[in-house]
Amino acid sequence: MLVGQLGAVEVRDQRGQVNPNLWVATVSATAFTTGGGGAQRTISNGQVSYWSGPVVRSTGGGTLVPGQPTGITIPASAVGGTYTGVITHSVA
Amino acid sequence: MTLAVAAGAPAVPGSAAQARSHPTTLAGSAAPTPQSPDVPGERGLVEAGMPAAGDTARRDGSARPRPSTSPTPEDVPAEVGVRLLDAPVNRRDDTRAHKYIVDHVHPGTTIRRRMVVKNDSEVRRRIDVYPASAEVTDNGFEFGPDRSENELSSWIRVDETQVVLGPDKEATIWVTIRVPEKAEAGERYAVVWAETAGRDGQTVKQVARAGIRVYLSVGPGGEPPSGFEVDELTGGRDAEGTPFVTAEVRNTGQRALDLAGDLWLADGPGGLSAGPVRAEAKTLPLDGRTTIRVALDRRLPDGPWQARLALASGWTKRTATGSVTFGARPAVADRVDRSGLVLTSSAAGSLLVLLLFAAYTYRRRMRQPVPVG
Repeated sequence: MLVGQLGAVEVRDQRGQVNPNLWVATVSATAFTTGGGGAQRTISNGQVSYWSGPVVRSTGGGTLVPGQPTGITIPASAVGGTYTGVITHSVA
Repeated sequence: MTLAVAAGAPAVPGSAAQARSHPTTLAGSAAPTPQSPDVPGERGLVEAGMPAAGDTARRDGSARPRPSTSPTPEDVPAEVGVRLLDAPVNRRDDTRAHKYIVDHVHPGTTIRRRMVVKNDSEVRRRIDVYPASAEVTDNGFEFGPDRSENELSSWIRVDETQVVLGPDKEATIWVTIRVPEKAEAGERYAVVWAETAGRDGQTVKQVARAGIRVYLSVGPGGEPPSGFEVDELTGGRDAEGTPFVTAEVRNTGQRALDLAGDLWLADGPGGLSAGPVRAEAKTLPLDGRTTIRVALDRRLPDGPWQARLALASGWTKRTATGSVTFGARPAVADRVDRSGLVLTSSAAGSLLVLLLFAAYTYRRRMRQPVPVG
């Protein structure tokens, strides 16, 4: 398994204290591919695990869920190469 | 008044996420804004947010530290912020409509709102603006993946789908929602996203997007009622000794709710009072129910307390009151340790007594005269 840190993700809510002061943050990943893709050159996003690390700084309270770094399970059949993928952080 | 997300900042050792919010007071102006004359059925709007802060000054008054050399898009995190500028005049008092696009319209109506998109990063970036699907389930407000469409997002258009902005620069985008004549009645959900990408060309491309939610009710006549019920307040203390108050909440209206509010405790031991303490819940679907749990300071005595929980979703408000008690602090760990010590001591004591008794008996036997036959 490959594990790496993506760096900090920061959400700034400056919309004021009046209700509702809520936001939802999600993370999604595409499949990781190398070369032209194909079965042996693709690591599906089901093999990509994401853990939100611990909260390093917060003000204003709220419910915050900690976790660990990000990992990718490499299938045994995967061809060697540089695999690239996209990880999207959404907040609304 | 911006909601912003940054992805890919240098990692703090042992961590990969951080969250913070800057509490500021709402200073939204209620002055009407000029309306676009070319949109039939458009209604009056009020301003929903404050203009942006200066180019380099942050909302909390601190200046953003600038790097000495000019950064490249690969070096800096992807950062983007959004805020809504307009709310309907008839929702001037609905604070929820100042943050999200919330409205009820008849089929065939077109509504327009302005939103501000801000490049929060330190380099020039391209920001894509687009509507995408969302739904409200038992898990709360859920975004669709990528640019997935639903019925509502297919009615939404933005006047600029792509803007290129310098560091800390903003652009105002018009969002137009054109509801078809044949649209069925009901509430629909979507998000208008502003998206930017960082670290392009490396193994992991990080994309950050911040969005304005849309809750649009469609139907003839007036707006369907919003409402909710709060069941009895209950107090308790968890295994770590943290006191909490819970309340069951049920959506009894015909629109989704975003509930938040405050809990107060009064008439406690010695006349103590506490609060307000923030209470929040995920977005509640029609007929949905959830348990709101408010964690309190563990130093609070058991009570009894008179609790008051005031909740609101925009202008729909309810207050529940009741007597709560937190119960004694669990002292399980202490008790286990002590009982273990007592058991070990008693066992050692018993063994010592047995040994002494055996030694005594043995010596007595040795001392007894042996009869000579």
